[in-house]
Parts: sequence; C-alpha cells; structure tokens
Amino acid sequence: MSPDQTSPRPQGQPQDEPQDGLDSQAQPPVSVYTPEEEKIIKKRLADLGYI
Amino acid sequence: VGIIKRFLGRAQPRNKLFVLSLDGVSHSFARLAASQGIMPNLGRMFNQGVLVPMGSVLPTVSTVAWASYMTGVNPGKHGIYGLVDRHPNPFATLIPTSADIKAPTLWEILGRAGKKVGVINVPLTFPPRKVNGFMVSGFLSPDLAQATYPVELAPRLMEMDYRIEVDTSQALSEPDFFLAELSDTMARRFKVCFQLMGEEDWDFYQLHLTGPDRINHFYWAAWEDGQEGAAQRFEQFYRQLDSYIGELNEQLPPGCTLVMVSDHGFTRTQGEVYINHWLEQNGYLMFGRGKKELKNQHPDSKAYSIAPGRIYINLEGREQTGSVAQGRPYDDLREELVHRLGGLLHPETGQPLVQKVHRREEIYSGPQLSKAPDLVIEPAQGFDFKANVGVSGLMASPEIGGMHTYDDAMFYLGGVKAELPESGLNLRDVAPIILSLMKIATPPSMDGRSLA
Repeated sequence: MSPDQTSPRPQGQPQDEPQDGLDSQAQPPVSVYTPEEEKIIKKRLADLGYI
Repeated sequence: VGIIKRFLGRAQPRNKLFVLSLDGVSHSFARLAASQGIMPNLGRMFNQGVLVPMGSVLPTVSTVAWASYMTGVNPGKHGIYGLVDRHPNPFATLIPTSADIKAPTLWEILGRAGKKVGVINVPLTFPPRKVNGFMVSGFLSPDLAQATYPVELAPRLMEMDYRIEVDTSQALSEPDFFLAELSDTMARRFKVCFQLMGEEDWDFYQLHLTGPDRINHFYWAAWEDGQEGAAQRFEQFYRQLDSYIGELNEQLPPGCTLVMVSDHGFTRTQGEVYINHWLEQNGYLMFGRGKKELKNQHPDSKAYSIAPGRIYINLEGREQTGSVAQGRPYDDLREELVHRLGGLLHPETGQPLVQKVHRREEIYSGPQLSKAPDLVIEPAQGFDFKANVGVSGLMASPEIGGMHTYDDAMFYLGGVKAELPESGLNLRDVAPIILSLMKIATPPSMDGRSLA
C-alpha cells in the first residue's frame, strides 16, 4: 500500500487551539460526523450505557 | 517493573512486536480464567511471560484510556476526557474523535522511525490518521467504507466480511443473538488479522478486541452469580477468545514479541448515581424555562456534570451562562463541592458512593488542562455516575451488570519467565515500554516511564 493514499476524510491531525480555555465566543468544532452518522454513534454509545 | 526493566536491558533488538489489546479484561479475571481452565492457552502463556496489574486513567472510560495508551501521556496533554465532551459556549455536546487527540500516537512515532505498522480496531482511531502502514478504525466509525487507511483497504475487508462492532441493542433481551454477534464479530476480526499479518509488511501490529468489554458490561454480574445460561454463555465467549489467542501465539513470526494489554478492570455495578439530580436538589444546578437540559441552564446555575462524574463549574467568561466568577468564588465553590461530594452516601444503605473527588490540576497536567472538567469524581467501587437530568432520585438500580474500575487493568509481556512482581505500572507507561522493546527513543514529552 502506498502511504500517499488517503481516505476521503480529514486525517485528523492535531490542530492548535486556544490554551486558556476561555474561548467563550468560539463556535463548537465542526463534527467529523454527518447528523445521520452521529445518530448511529450515539445509539451505539447509548446501547452500551455510556451516555 | 524491576523484572520488566531487567528484561528490557537484556533484550536484543526484535524484528516485530504484536500487541493484543483486550478491552475490559481485568488482571484478576485473566488470572482466574487461566487458573480455572476457562482460558488454558492464556495460562500457558502466562507461564512464559510477565503478567502484572496496571492502573488506568480518570475518568475510567475506554477512549480516555486508549488515548493515554496510544500517546503515553495524561489527558492534560492528549485532550480526551470522555466518550462525550462539551463545548462551553455556546453549550454543545460532541463526540471526540481521533481529530481531537493533541499528542502524537505510538504508531505515528513508530512510523516516523521507519517502522511499518498495522492497527486494527483501537478505539478513538476514527477518522483514520495517516500511518506508515495500515489502520482499521474502531467502534466510533460509522461504517467500514470510511474506516480504513489507506481507503483501498476497505473493499478487501468487505470481501472478508469484516464488521466494525457488535449490535448490543438486544444484549439482555436476546442473549443467544448477542453471543452469536460477539462470536461472529470476533471470528471475522481474527480472520482479517491473520490474513493481513501474512499479506502486509509490518514491524508493529495491534489487534484490538472490544468483545470482552461488551460481554462484561452485560453479563459480569450474571457470571459472578453463576446464573444458569448466562454464566455459561459468558465462559463460552472467553473459551472462544482463548482459542484464538492460542492460534495467534502460534502464527506470530519467530522472534516476535507479544504484548497483551487492557484498559481497565471490571466489577459488578451496584447502582447508578444521578449526580445532576444531586446538584439540582442542592441548588447548584438550575434550569431556565422550557426543556430541562444542560444547554438550557439558568443564569444563576453554578455547576453541572457530564458522565461519568465530570463536574464543570459554571464559570464566568467560559460557560454559556457563566455565573461563578474566576478566582476566589471559583476556588470556594470547588472546595465546597469537593467536601460535599466526597461525603456522598447511598441514601438507603449508607455506603460511601465516592472514593475521592479530584481537582483537575491534581490528576492532569499539560496544555489541554483548560479543557478538563473542574472536578472528577472517582466513584466507590460499583457506583456508576450518570449525567441524566429530570430523574426522580439520586440512585437507581443498574440497567447493566458490569462497569469499569481504575485498578486491575492487565499488562503482559511474553518471552520472559519470571515471578509476578508487585507493580505500580500505569497504562501510560505501555507506549514507552513498547518503544523501548523496539529500540526507539521515548519522546521526552511522554509522561509514561521509559524503563530501558
């Protein structure tokens, strides 16, 4: 496999963020999931009693 | 630790290292299953290696634990504090993913050192990050097509009927279906593991199994009680797992080091504790008009919780409805909650519900500390802290029979015969140990102990 081949998603490399935790007006980060995918994942977590 | 250190000092450079990560398999259960003949292959392997108990992480959640394992650092550096996190303003809940890990992972460090890696099913690896080799993301992947690096690997896994996760929705109502799901998923995972082991070039290979955690959650108490049917199903699963472990041990290339690791221990759930109910009843958590939910807190609300046992002060300048000023008011409120929550008792039995309440700076350090909960409740054994709102009481009977413990994770290193040492090993030490075994320098930023 070539290491240059990439998946269609962002690869999730770490990004810089404000360090003081007081980014009060920042918007929530954009989820890597679509709304439908998020439902699938949340159901999976709920079935396991995690949320 | 001393015996491992001596072994590392003697060890010659190894060609390959394989990690079998067993989600939720406690050190004490592994010993018991091996000694009682439920897992005879494991028993034989324990005689040919070192098995030690290991501490986990707070909160004791799989994604926080595996993030600590894969980075060798505490949550104050990797930035993962739970399966669900919150954005303070505007208030929103979110599911952390691999994109939120703020420290290099073990496989990224290995890749940069020129090692080829293969990683299958480790939690918090979705979306798959680029590696020098291949990656199959774990149970937070919505589907297989998006779960692999490189993307061309996905069709091959589909041909092999690989499955990301078992369906646990009917784990208690349809136990035979659930066991079949567990068994079938594990079979497919090992099939893929064995095939890629032969077809791909690798120096480091990790296969992660979530099945043990799943069956423990639902059937731990039934197994402890020897419940007819349930206990047999539980042991049947572990017999099957043991058979695969034996096969894996035989298939490893000569000279390959085997490491087995788990992320936490397990215990019977005694009760669920609804900490937001307590905060509301005691005047700390208040809601505005309309739906009772955390994003609708009253401007005078002072604190709230996200599972399991993470407490956030409604801090001015940080939270959406921040009401507690920074400095003395924040400090005083935290101290008050440390004192009051630390003394929380079961309303019927009088049992302590809390082992300890930790201030965040006592257990975390690093650039991601500001994202940490202000307080973390370490529960007394068997009490599962939930964040439900609108419930009728502080406590409820558990819906499922098993839960995680901080203590009693397991670490196994094959290839050295030794007596069981007393150990203060922690999950974040595993990455430095693996790097030592592969003769790669541990980055100074790692918190884990480099033993070589």
